[in-house]
Amino acid sequence: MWFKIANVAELKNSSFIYKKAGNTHVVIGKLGPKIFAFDSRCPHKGGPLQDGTIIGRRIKCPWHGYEYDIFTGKPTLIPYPPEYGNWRKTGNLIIYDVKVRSKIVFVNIQ
Amino acid sequence: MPKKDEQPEVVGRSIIEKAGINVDQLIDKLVRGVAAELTTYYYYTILRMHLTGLEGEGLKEIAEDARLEDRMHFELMTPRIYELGGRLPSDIRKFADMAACPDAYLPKNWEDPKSILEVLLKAEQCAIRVWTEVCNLTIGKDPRTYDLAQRIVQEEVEHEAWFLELLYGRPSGHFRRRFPGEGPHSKRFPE
Repeated sequence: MWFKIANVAELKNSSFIYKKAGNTHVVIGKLGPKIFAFDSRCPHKGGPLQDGTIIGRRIKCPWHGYEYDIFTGKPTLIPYPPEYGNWRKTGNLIIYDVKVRSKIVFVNIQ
Repeated sequence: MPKKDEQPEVVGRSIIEKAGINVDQLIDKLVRGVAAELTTYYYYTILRMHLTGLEGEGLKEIAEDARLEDRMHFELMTPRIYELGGRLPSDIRKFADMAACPDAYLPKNWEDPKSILEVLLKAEQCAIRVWTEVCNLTIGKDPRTYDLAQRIVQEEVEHEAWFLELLYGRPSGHFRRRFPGEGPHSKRFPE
């Protein structure tokens, strides 16, 4: 389902905002000409990515420092060594499709 | 007599859903939070055992204060998970892997008490982040979970302050506990 989430004017380059779409909390932002949107819960242990940091095209989680590509969702940095076993495992960031119509940004939440 | 497959209305849950909380996601955060508390209790047991020597002896009781209160945090919040319709995993290994904070392993250079203090400090700082997040989600929407989470945050902040004082000389602003397990904010049944 498509949700209206923001106006294009709200999105500044290399930064993001935190919005709700239905029951889902979304981080949405802009990097160059591209708009990105992902679920605000870190796929590692559910940390609040809206309090994270954008580094290039990666989001860094404030809880444990995991980094994910904001366009593909893939983890790019797992800062814990293998001795942490299953605790360090992570899935991918949940990425949402976006579209812009009449300067309004919509996000697709399945 | 209600039928076996009939789901009762749970006003305590529906009222916070109406306030805008995704209760299943909240339950997930709470389970991860209490998993962190219980695993911390376990690891602090090991860390406390290794606070040895003249320097370590004075630190043992401070570690014990934090250890027992972290277990009390597990006891305090776990019933709330069930109240909301959640549950703990039936396998403790899965539970431990869910913990919102990393395992507080004994450092390789444990003979230096500072290395143990640094592990303790990081564990408390992680707990502050986790429970503050729960407070932020529930404030004004779920007063019961908020109340429990803020009690935990208050004690975690005090734990952090002690370890910062010991490591960096930064005044904590308050005394330690009168006795281990005092839990001034989190004790369910005050004496």
